[in-house]
Amino acid sequence: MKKKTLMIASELFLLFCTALCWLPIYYFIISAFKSRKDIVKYPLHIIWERFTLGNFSYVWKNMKFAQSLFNTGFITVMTLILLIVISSLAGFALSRIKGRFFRTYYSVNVALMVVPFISCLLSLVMLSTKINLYNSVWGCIFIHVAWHLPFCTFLYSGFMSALPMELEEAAYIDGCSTFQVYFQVFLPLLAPITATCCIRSGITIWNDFLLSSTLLNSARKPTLMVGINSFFGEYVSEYGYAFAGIILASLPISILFIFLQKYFIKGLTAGAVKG
Amino acid sequence: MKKTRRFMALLLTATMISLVTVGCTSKAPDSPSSVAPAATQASKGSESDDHEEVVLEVQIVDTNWAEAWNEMKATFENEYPWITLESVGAQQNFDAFISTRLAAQDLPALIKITSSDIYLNMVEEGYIRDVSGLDCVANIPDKFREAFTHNDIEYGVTQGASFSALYVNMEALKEAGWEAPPADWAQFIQCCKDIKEKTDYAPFLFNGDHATICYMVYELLLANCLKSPEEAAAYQEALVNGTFDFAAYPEICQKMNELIPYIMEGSSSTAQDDAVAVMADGGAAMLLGGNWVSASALEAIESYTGIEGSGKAIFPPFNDPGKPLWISTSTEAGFGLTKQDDPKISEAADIFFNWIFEPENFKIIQNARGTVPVLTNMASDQIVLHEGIKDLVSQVNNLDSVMMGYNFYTAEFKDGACTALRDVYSGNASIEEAVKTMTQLLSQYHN
Amino acid sequence: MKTHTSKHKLTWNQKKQLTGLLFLLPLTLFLAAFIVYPLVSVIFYSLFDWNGMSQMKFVGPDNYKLLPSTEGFWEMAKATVIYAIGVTGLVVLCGFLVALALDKRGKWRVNRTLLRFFWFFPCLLSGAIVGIIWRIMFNFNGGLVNFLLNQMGIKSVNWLETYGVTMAAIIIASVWGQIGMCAIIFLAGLQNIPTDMLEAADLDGASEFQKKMKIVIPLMAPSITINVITTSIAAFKAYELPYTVSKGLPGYSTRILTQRIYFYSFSTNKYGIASAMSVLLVIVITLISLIQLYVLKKREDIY
Repeated sequence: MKKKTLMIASELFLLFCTALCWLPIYYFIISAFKSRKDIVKYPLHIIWERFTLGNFSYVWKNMKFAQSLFNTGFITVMTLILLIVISSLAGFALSRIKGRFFRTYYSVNVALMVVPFISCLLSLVMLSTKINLYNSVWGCIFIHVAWHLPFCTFLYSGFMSALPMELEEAAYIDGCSTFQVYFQVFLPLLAPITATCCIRSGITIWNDFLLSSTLLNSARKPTLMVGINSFFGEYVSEYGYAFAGIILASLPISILFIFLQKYFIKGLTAGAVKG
Repeated sequence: MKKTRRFMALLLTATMISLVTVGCTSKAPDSPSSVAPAATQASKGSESDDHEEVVLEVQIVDTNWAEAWNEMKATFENEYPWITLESVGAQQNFDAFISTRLAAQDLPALIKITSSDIYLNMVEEGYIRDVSGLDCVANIPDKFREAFTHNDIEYGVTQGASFSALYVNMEALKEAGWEAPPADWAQFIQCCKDIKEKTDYAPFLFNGDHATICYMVYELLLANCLKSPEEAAAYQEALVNGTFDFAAYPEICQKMNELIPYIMEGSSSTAQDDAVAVMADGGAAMLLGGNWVSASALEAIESYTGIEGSGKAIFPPFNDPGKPLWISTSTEAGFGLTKQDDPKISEAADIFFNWIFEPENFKIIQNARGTVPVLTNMASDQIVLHEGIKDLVSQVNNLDSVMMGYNFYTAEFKDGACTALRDVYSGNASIEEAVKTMTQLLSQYHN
Repeated sequence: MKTHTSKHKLTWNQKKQLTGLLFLLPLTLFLAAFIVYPLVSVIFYSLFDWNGMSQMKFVGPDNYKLLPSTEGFWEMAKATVIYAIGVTGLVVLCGFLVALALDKRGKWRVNRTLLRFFWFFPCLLSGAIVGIIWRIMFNFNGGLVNFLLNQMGIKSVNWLETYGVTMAAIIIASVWGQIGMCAIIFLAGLQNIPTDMLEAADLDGASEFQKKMKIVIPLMAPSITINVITTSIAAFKAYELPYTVSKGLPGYSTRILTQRIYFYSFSTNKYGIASAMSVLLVIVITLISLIQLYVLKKREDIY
């Protein structure tokens, strides 16, 4: 009996903490349904008489929301596909092939994880004008891929080095080539860690502002975060519009998370954390 | 495991398909707009036939008139069907946007311009065109044109004029026993004292999050220590040359120390929106701000008290008793033209630039922002201002004034000086220390 | 290569190695073009005085010599370290506790999938948005945090203008934004712990606390490693979130070095100094992460 009360108490405490953690989110969600004046005046209440969907319709129209969604989605999906292919190949090489070169490469790869993006931004812009990637979604995609590669490769090689040796040995004895081993033996096992990479990198790419605002023309190729950021101005910030935009922008990725959650956790369980 | 793969593949395809469909449908509402100019072009016939279509990138829109932009764009594109306007770089830090565009050597045709160092550098390096040959500048007073001249190049045209103002909640003052707003420094301090003692209001608030306002408090004290227009000119020159000694005016420090106890806590990190919210909430009795906040500040005060006319704008009475009142005025950020390789774009940019500064079109920006007009050919019925500030606007030109410091800032001085001043306002440091830091910063980083 | 062709046939192992190199080729191309090349050019720019427009002027190591005398450099270095340590420590600690709480299942308990989503949601928002939300929350006049404190009978705290407190504020905001990701990684680690080990400990009469200390934490060592490394690297590289919360104020006490790099490269256009500072930061983070990796790996091996 005592155990049960303790359990209920701990459960209530957890719920309380969750509620506390959600307070800021509650605040911005209800703010999205309020007019500008009410947001600051009544931070925590919804005034039902003045409940409005105006923010959402404004955002939908003026942010070119559908187009932004498409661009952001295209960039994210393409980046993830490239990212997964390249980093799983590299992860396989770094974890399953012995040799001094591969060990050194691994350390270099880890070292490249620490470079702050912001300090390379201007050089990247100059580079992309030279190689004709400026003002193109592919420029955005390639740069995103490159900057997420070190970490994803790190995760993949960690995941694969945790898999047992016998896996490939049997295949090699059967006369498989290295590529066949990768393709037939390892690739089928990579689903969980792929989910992990998708979620971790996908969120960052989806939320990217710096790169898409510098590389893309926001009138021709709008993306979600650039649109949302235009509601924060030098003098005035349109919180209502911005919050409505954030809610709309985070819906797709929330749904993706809910679906991938099981695999995401499995990916980490299955050995990624042994990185 | 197979199931997992199938699920992943399914999910991925589903996302792709939905994205593509969304993408295709999104093109649908767009297409009329891209067809529309062509259609009007056809109907207009021969006159627009000899024009090739031009896309003009402009970086002039700010959040406070973003809604008016749509109207402006539509009107212009209707008049000049072969020019399509694209607004880019609408974000908080427009200097950063220009920096990245510079790196890419792809500047928008029209950009927002201030007199901070990055734009002056751009003028020196020949990225910006001289606008003095355009028709529209004829309607701008010389004073404002001079403010945007560097190396004999007129590099921009201002969007408006601004000045410092104090927005007073008269109901709060009445509660403290004041029927009329304070008229000089001694009265102002007395009034602050009465408000603090007799009412629940905080006496004095400003939105110090904004660098211009943060410096404005100090600047107003300084302006009222100057005795003549010559001294003001000398001060401005010293700011440009980096030789001004902030410590040379001990009376500023003394006044600042008198003021500090009455500054509402949190002022130095308050953004403009939040300051207006505080006024709407009855938190403070007096708000110092630029004239650009007048409409929202006065409305906020009236919405709190529920009495029309209870919000009153006055010039900040920081003058010593019996002395004339000094305020700070300025040109606002202006619009400038960049050099473009393509003559067609330059030509279109000229057309648009002249078009903006026609009174009929300029009032769209003007009234959305609520600033003081600079165009001399603007009719009075084209100007919409809040009742509470109309008086002041007519008096601005008759008063002694100093240029707002923001015209002399280098980014480093602005950053360092505002950091020091904010520490003073929040009670973390003394004004004497801050003044020393500012002098040193100015000598190191000046234009 | 000549030796191979002379033999006309590669050994099996050489073939494997070659395939490995081939596998690394795309990675190498991307890294070389978009990370190494810009990094090298940043090192190159750090030796010049340049504003992005004028002629570049070679100044040698002058930019590096200038760094320590720039405004608030040491305060900012201190802030960077405090922020990184604070965020890493708190995120890992809180993330662990949350993961423990979310791991339990039972008839009387709330649906875990839902709760996990709730805790993870802040991670779905971008750093700038998290920062903006918390700046509004921490507002002295009318901010939610002070409103709640007042409801509990505590005096308002000036979150954004008090030395020390503001650092706490940006750390709280960052922790809030990252706890979910960390907790999920721990959760994965927890689900990896074999249940029979815990049952055996139960039979031996071990208390909850003993079980956590003796069994759970050692087995979680790999997750701790990955969390510490990723969070600390992210904290050193963070820019938007702390800036939007505090704008680096009061003084220079919450200005972390990335904000200064941004300032020099985008507000003052002093690419030389910005690059020099970037190089310095990269060196420091690399050293710190290598040390962390070494220490944590060693600890993992003990268990």
